[in-house]
Order: sequence, then C-alpha cells, then structure tokens
Amino acid sequence: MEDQTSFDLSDAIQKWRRDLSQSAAFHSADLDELEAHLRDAIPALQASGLSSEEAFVVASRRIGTRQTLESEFGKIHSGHSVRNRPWLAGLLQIVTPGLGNLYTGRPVRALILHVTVLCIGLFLALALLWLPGPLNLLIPVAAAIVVAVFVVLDGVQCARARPHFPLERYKRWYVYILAVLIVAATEPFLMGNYVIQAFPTPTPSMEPTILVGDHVVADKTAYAFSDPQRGDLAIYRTPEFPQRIFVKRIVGMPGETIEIRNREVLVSGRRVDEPYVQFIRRSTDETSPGDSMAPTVIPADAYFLLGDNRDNSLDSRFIGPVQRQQILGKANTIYFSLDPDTQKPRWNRIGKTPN
Amino acid sequence: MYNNAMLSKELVAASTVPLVLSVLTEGENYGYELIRRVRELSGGRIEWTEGMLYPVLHWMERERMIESEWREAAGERRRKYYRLRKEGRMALKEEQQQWMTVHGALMKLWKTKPHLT
Repeated sequence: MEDQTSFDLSDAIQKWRRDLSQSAAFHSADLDELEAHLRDAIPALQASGLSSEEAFVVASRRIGTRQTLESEFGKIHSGHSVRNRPWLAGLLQIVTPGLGNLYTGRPVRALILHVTVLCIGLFLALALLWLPGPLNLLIPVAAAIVVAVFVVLDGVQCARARPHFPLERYKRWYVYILAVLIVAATEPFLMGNYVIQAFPTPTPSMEPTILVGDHVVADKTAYAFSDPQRGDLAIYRTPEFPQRIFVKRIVGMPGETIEIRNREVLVSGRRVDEPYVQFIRRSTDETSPGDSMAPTVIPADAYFLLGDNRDNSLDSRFIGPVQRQQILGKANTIYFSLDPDTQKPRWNRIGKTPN
Repeated sequence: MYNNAMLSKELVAASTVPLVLSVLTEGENYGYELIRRVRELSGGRIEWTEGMLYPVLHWMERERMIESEWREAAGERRRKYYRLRKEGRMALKEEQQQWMTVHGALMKLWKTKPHLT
C-alpha cells in the first residue's frame, strides 16, 4: 500500500481550498460547500480501494479546476456573465489610472497603480518646474508617455489574464463614476493648488515678456519655503477682480516707498532700471494716468506689482499693493504658445522660462 | 458501444435543472448525494463536473425553485441541504411537459421510419 506518512490529507484539502480562494468568484459559503463535497467524495473513493492521495486527486479533479468553476460561480454572484474587455480596460486606464484594473477585478492593484502614477506625476511636475529648458518639457513629456503606455498595457494585460471575471459587489456603474469624481475633484485641485497650475494668457499686459497666446505653468511651490523676490513674475488674485488671475512683475518690496515720476519708477527714492519694460506711446507728450504716482508706502507683507507693458496694464498703480497671501505662485515655464493672429504655434517660445 | 456513450455536454447542461428538481422530489438532499443519485440513475452516463452543480443550485435558489439550509445531521459533517419549494414543483411540471413534448415527437418520428434491426 501507499506510504501514508508522505501525504497529509487535511493539509492537501486546506491547500486546495486556499487555491480556490484566490479567486474572488468564490464566496466563503461556496468554499464551505465545495469542501464538504470533497470531504464526502474522498471516503467513498477510499472505500473502493484508492489511497488517500489518489482519492484526493480523483475527487478534486471531479469537482473541477478553479479556472473551470470560477466563471460559473462568478455568473451566479453577478447575475450575468462578464467579459473583461482588454480595450475597455485600456481605455479606463486613460480616464483614471487604476480604473481599468478596478474593472478587471483588481482593486488592490488599481490602488497601488493609481498612487504610483500620482507620485510619478508629482515628481514630473516638479521636474517641469525645476529642470532647465529644454529638459523641463522633454523629460516630463517623454516620461509621461512611457508611464501612460505602461498603465494602458497593464490594464489590457489584467483583462487578458482574466477574460471572464465575475462582477464583484463593488462593480457597479455608480462606483466607477464615484471613483472618477473623487479623483477628478481632489487630485487636480491639490496639484493645482500646491504644486503646478496651467494658465493661458489672454491679455498683453506683460508683453514683451509674456505674449498673448502663451500658456504658462505657475509654480505653486515657489513661495512655500521662500519669499517673493524683486523681479519675480508673480501670479496673484485681488479682491477687486475676484474672477481674474493676474501675472505681474514684483517691483516694490514690503515696507518700501514707491513713486512714479513721468514713467520712471523710484523705489525708496532711487530710480529702478527696467530693461524689460515696453511703452506703447512713442513720446511722453501724451500722458496717461499710470505715468505718475505719488510716493506710496507699501504695507508690511505686501508687494507692488507692475506689468511690463506699462501703458496697457492693470496693476498696483491702480489697484494698490498685493497682500502676500494673495500671491498664488510664480510664472515658471511657457509650455505652449499659439500666435493669436496666425493660429500657429510659436515653437521658439515653448519651454522658455519668462523672466 | 453506443449504449455506453456519455451524454453530450449540451444535453447535460439542458437536463441539469429538471434532474435536480426531480431528485429533490424524493426529499431534501445535499450536493454530493444529488450527484451520486443522478449518476446511479443514469447508469453513470450523466457525468457532471461536480463543482459545476453548485452554481446551478445557487441559481435555482435565487429563482426560488429551491431553498437551502446548512445543517449538521447527528454524527455527520455540516452540509448544505436543498429542498423543493412550490415554485420548484411548478417549474418541474413545465420541464416535464417540455421534455415529454420532445420525447413524444422523437418517438413518433423514429417509429414511422422503416428500419432494420
């Protein structure tokens, strides 16, 4: 007869059960029932002369493999059969990284992948802000393409690995919508508020430094750990125009006295050299209200900002100094630029950091 | 040779529900015994992938043809017993009619064909 010491029946049954439990298609009550079946079948086979090992093998084969059983069990728990479609899994991965994994019944993988992509995204955003041009655009764009391809392929792969997978209890259309909504409501918000945000430029107030049609990313981390500096292109809001976001140059610092005399800016009595400024009017014959301003003391914790296109700029001359807390960030990189007249990209501006 | 042929997959699938309902008219039963009984009645020619019976049982339960209960008979292991409900008896009646229709039609056809034995 067989050597009984080499085969532990209860151990084998446990292993068998553990293997089935790998599939979410089986609920624990299903496993209880299948195990009871196996435990009934084995003694009957042993009674006909098989060893315990042979009986186990025959009985478990008669029950069927995990692969054969899981789709039928899955159907029962879902009400209908579900095919994991690779193209849909790939598409959902683009909608939100991890959504395709979720769809194929891999919630843990979905979460890990999503968090990983988020971290990579954060890292690439910082690379975009901190690397010198043209690497600031090339590296993040190339890396983002690689990551996107990987994420899509991972979703496709998950769907191929399990072509038939049961509808889990969480697999409801509103769960997907909810997941997308949560991600869409939180992540761009957090990213845009604390790391990086993109803005178009519809007005010419900063010409020739920033042109109409330039798309600029703002560095939201710029003033988290250091103070704004003179000459910075700051992005800010003012309570006077709550709908608008301004970008202007910091000319006066907290506590300084600023005065404008016939277009010349004086900070604490000293003339400021402004090579970046452009005037539209050729002569000083025509005067404009912005040409002169009586000496003004900038409050502590506030900054005086002016547009480089001095004749066509709504700035601190008219709406006063800007509180530090209203400054959102610093103009960092022109990530795209479209000539508003020809509607053609201005390639030479893309990747540049205006200063 | 022909008499020993196993039932085709399609026929096995189609006959599972009426077979289960019919065996349960003999009284409540659990999966392993149900399968044993069907094998015995069919002379071993109806061979199920045994695990596949359970999703069918669960489906029938959801369709309210049968109901189930985990129970431990004295001195035996814990098993899930299934028993017929009223809806199950009605379903069986319908199944019987349908199978008898097919059976009757085939019988008539086969009897009218001249054949040598």
